[in-house]
Amino acid sequence: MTTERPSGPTSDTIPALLAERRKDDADRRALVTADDALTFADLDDASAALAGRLVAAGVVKGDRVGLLAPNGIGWATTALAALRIGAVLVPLSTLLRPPELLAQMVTAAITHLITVPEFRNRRYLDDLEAAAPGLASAVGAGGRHPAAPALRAVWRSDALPEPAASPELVRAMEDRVRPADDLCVLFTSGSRSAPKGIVHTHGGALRATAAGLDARCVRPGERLYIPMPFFWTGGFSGGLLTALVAGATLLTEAEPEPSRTLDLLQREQVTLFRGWPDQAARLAAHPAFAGADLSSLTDASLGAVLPAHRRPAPGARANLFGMTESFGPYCGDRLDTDMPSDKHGSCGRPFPGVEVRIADAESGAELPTGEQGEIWLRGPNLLRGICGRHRSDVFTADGWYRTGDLGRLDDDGYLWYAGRLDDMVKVKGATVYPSEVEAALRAVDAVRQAYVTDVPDADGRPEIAALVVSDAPVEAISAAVRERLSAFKLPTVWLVTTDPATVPMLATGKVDKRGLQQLLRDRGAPTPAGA
Amino acid sequence: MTSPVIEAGDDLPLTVPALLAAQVAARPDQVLLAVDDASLTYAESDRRSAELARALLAAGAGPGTRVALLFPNTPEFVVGWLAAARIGAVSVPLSTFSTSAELAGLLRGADVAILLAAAGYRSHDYPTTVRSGIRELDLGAPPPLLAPTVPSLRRIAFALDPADAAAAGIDPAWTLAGLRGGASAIDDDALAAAEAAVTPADRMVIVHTSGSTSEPKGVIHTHGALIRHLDNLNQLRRYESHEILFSNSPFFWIGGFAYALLGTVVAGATLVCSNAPSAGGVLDVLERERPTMVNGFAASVAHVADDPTFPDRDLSSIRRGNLWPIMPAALRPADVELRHTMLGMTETGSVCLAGPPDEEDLVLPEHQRGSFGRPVPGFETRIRRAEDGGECAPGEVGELCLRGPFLMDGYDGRERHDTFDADGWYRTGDLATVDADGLFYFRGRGSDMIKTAGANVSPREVEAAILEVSGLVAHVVGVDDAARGQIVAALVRAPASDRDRDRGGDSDGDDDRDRDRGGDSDSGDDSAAAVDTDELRERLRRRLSAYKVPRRIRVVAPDDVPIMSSGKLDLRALKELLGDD
Repeated sequence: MTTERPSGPTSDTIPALLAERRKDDADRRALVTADDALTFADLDDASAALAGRLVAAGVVKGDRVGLLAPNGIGWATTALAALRIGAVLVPLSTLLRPPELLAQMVTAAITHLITVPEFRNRRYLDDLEAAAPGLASAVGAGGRHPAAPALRAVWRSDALPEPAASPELVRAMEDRVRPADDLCVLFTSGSRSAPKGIVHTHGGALRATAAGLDARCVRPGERLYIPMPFFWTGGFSGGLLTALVAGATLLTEAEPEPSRTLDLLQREQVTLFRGWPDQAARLAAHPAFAGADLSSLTDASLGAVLPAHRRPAPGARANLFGMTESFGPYCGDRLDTDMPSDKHGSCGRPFPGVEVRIADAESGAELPTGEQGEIWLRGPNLLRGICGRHRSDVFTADGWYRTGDLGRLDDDGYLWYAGRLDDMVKVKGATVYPSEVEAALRAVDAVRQAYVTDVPDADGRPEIAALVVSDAPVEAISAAVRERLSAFKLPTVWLVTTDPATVPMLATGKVDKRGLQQLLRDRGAPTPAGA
Repeated sequence: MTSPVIEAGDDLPLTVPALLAAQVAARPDQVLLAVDDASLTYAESDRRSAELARALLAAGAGPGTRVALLFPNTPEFVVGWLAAARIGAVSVPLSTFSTSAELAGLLRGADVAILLAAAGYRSHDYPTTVRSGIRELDLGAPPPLLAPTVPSLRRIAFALDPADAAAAGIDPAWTLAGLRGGASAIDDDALAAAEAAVTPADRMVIVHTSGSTSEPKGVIHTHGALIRHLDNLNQLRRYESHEILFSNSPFFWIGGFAYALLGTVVAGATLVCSNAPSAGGVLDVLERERPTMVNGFAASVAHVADDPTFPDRDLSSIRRGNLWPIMPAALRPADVELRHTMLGMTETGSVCLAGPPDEEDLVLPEHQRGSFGRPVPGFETRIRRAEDGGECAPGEVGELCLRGPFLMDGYDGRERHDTFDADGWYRTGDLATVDADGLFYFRGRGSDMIKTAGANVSPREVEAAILEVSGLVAHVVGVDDAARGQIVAALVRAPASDRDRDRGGDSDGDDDRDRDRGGDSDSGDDSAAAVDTDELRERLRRRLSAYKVPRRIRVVAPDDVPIMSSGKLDLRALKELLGDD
């Protein structure tokens, strides 16, 4: 049963939070997988024991512990072991190619790398050897290697050093962890730049997580399923730390597979299903879904897994909008309740601890309410900084972080997202936002999905190109969207397909913009005459 | 050219390893530091710090590792700092005045992992001092240390000869030589890669300063910001590679660390210091090294000018600076207040307000008496009105607030929003005015921090120590003093007594040579006299650095503590009670 308790950041460091869960929710299950489960007391014990081993093996406060593993109890225990003694966690994506892995290890100055031996046919120690021959053996022998000079140890997650430091020393190290201390370095890929290492503190990250609980309808005792990887913000903040802060139970899997997922969700009577919408859609499309009993789900779950009569209208629930730099969503509205009808399609309102300003991207001047511009953020829950960049380069003098996102705030303080600033396209002197064109296309009845970008025309000048998944012909779609958009915003290059698999996707679940541009350059056709 | 931003696109190297490499290439044989009988050239500093850097890597240090330095102004300090900075570790200079309890508190509070320390200095024997602060430390057994008292500290390296260490029952692994022995495990390529990985945004140093609480605050500065700031300041003071600077500001505080040491490395110049206990020894160094510039706190050299041999000494090499007592008579201003003064603080990486370079020798008009000049490049200022937080008009007294890329990265362990306001301003606690010409004037400290002979003392810390060692409640303030600016003074509440007496006892520090207050403290057998101020001072000396121990202690009956009708302490009456009378 879930219980009502005001959600808030009662503890602002990981060790304090683990102690709080142990005190209040010792016997509640913290993590459940298909074949294992552990309570908050178990999680505290297991992470404390592992912390003692890390300390004995030379990990001290401020060391950067890289973790390369899929979701699971092992990930959570290892991460919390490092965090509770003040080491900084660097979650690494299991999807990284060897050179990317090495680059992130260097950028974050990883001192100790803990990796699963193998996952999905990837052997990460082999990857490391391929990227930097001799690295693991050099540090194994107590030396350093020029390819990653901060690295002092590489450990397989199933073969961590055994000797343990005393519990008194571990406790003394926990007592030294302060809200201002760094918690983690999370990598986020700019669409056109090398991945950035975003640094969050214990205080900032835990407050940010707590600030979103109410909108996300995560109550103590909630049984939350969120199939997002722990190594990105969605899974780390929205999954693992959400369970810890809220006192909720997290259902998790290393590799979601629809029939196994349905078994887990039914057995555990899942109450809240969140994640990327297409993850819910994929599960709902599985043949076994119709026979599954998911009646325990609450209304704040993704629409696709709810019965049709409980599914909200498109846009009725807030688009919980956030980024790695804000450690998850920074604005929203209660997900179990429709917003007022004139707010449908908005991102809700900013959460406590985050100030939003709409500014002119070029001059930096604050824009009047209602005008569209770049979204700027500031407040105590945001990133502390970015690896290798001066604070004065990351923030404005008066403390604002420029998100590179476009949006506007309305009279009631609701935020409306309008795309990425760097996606803005100048077509014959006029500004076109591909996201706005996409929204217009998606509003056409026959359109199932739409992706808009720019491609160079014969003279190398950008023009607007659209990939549309629909059974309707391009003429009909073009005519319909003409009703909704100014002429200069209309796509002039089209590719209409009935097959959703045509859309090039990244492993992150986002559309592959370069692949999309390539596809439209290769196979796109001009708007039919007379359409 | 000065620059108000860190990255100016010029050729100034913005990390310590890059800066050192550039200076070594340009002037390998030039002396970087001359101290009494020891000296260190740029090439030597490179070679020695490279070896120590490799040893630190072998000992597990790397980016962000806190490496504490407990040395007076010596080549060992410079080598330790350069070694740490070359691998991205963060230097934490520690005051050589520190007592055992203070050292343990700093090592714990700054999460220090490796401590590099002199064998001793003045009255301190550091192995003994450190051991009595960290009860778990067994120097007879090899490292690592695994002590809940200082849970991050793993390694200590004293500058002891290994044979002397062994004779004293200390395992040689606890010596600098023992630490350096590990250097061979790390090759040159790994060190070069570690140096290349240091970015200008990385933290370089944490300098401690007394705060408004009883705990000292660790002020964080990054490589790029501090190097650019010192390059700007060097241009303002025309500190160039051919200059020889004498400064006795200790390297463990910001003046010595940044304005003297880092500034010297940025300039590629030569720094001269002296730890000679006698004035004659300091004068020998000045005559031999022939500094062209002098800088620091005038009180630090006042005793030098009092030396009987002073008039016969040749200090004619000195051309510029602010150590008036030792400067040639022709350079001494008739009225110091009619020269621009500088304002510096730990949080601003030394100087933040200064006169323009072309006005160094200018005698100011009377209406600019006491000017602190203008903000140095990169600093935004505002004078904040106390009542409503608004902007002060010219001439109106308010709190000096600062902002800019060279301001500290923050206080170690404190969240940014507890230190800066939402718009990024740092409130200094100093009261100031600005005139219509944009010149700044210091109008006192808005906080109750005591500034004595160049050192900051927190009254809260001294009060807490008095309570700890004696169980007595005390009120500590700074009272004005001609030689030291202020001295630390304490009004101690006598313990409750059966007899109500109206006389108090008082006493001055026995090391306060200027004054002899005689028989005031033999006030009979009342409760005040029950407090032995000499014994209290002796106990405080074991707990507090000497400069924090009150030079004046007065004991009064609880009824005589000046309390206003509001119930609050009457600070003015308190200062009068403790002041020169």
